[in-house]
Amino acid sequence: MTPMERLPVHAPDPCPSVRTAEETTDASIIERSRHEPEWFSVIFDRYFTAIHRYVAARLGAGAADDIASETFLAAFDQRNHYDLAYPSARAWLYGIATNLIGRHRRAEIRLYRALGRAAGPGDVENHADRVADRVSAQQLNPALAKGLAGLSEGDRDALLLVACAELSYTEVARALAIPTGTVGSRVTRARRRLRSALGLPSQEVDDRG
Amino acid sequence: MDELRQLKDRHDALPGADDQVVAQARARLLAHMSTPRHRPRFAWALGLGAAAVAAVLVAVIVIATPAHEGSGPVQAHPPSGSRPPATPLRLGPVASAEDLAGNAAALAAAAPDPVPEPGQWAYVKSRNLLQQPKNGTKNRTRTHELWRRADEKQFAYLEDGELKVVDGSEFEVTYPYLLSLPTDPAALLARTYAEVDAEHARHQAARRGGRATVPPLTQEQRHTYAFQHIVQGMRDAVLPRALRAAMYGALAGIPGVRYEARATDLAGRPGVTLYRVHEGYLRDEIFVDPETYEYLGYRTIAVRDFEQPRAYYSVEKGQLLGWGSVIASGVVDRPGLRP
Repeated sequence: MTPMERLPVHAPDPCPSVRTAEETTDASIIERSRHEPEWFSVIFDRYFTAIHRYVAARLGAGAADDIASETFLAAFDQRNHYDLAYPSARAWLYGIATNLIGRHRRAEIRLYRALGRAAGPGDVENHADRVADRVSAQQLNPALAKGLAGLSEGDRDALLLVACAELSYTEVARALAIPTGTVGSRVTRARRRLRSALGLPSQEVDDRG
Repeated sequence: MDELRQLKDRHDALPGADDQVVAQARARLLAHMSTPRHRPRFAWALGLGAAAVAAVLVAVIVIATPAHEGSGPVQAHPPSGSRPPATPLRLGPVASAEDLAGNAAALAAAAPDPVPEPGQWAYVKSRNLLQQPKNGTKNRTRTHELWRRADEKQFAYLEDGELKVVDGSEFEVTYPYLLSLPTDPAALLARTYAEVDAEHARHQAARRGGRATVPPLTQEQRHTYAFQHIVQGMRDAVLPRALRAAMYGALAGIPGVRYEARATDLAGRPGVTLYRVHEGYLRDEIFVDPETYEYLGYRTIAVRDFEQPRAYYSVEKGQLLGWGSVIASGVVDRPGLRP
């Protein structure tokens, strides 16, 4: 026993991990969070990095920090309206994030235009901008970026949810609150335009729905 | 490579959110959860600052708060009636944890004290409860002296009258951390909650390998841990007055923290108390000198029987789980010296 020995700080709940949420569906956690709000942080832990990456792909890393965070605040506020018939909250969260991204449509188009210029030889923008561009470019083909800037918002939303978030047409329909058939036509149209921007043959795109 | 593949590859190649961003977003969500949707109706009145309105509200709040059980009725002093000041500085009456913190801050501002230099030593002589007695057993205490280097690189103690100097640190809350804390109570409290959340996130990350999801902290746990984090920093440390005052203020900002005007510490000295009852059964408190606002010590005591069968954990009402008092303290240049 050394004189250094001190009584430990006493934790009133010495075994807090007795209740584990292993293999619990998002729906049951959200249901529980309606009465015990802190459970919602499990949803955060499951999806934050994915949502952040998706927002970063569309608006750049800086805006993503804020908007990904706001996505979960909005989701928390809407948890009472979550349809518990859907075990996974993935599509729901991507839908909320997509809505928030919609408020920054101009910033998104600016980013794509910057990416479209990134490889241009006559680039006279300042150094910081070019560094930022290069960082956000992450190998996105400039022609593809220009093509994205030219898409309508609805087409771009549907396409990127399919391409980046890998949602099915049914999930995209749920995320954007539109009919599944509409998802199909938006994705088809968006892909046709991008393929033409890339100079790829305009073959019939495969249906993922 | 088709357009979908290119979009996906670029998305996947983006760097992930860094840990700090995740921690901040998480803290923001937790703070958002505890924000009441509808603010209390009288909140606007508090913002008026009109003395008459404020005085009425304060009186109502003091009476309505069941904060002073066991300490007798507490009078809501009118703003003009102050008790004889202990120092030339005129301090207001203390009827709440906030008052206590405010006076401590006023004292600290009037008489700032030096911060220990990294190579200096904090000396603390304290008396602690030696073991956790069940009801009926006599409290056994022990007094010991401790020297702790402010850069946390060494500490020293007396063993059989001989000074032992040891490299390293045994303290969970380190000195450099303590001295880096903000001296604004609100900022300090925010920092404390961030630490509590970060600690839980580390715990969670450590458990993820085992595929188990650690349940999120309840609000009650967050408040408990925040309280304990702050009071743990006060033990075995000599802190600048301004920081100590901010700690009182941060404690006062934790939901459930109450003020009690009459208390006695382990050394039998009279003091006042800031306390919180955690989880409905565990009273955690610090004692403060009502004249100098010095930190006197701490106590943790069960105020109700409590049992948690699955954790093989139980305490009886009245059981002391910790009690310690600072007898003397100060900053010195070498271990072995006393202030």
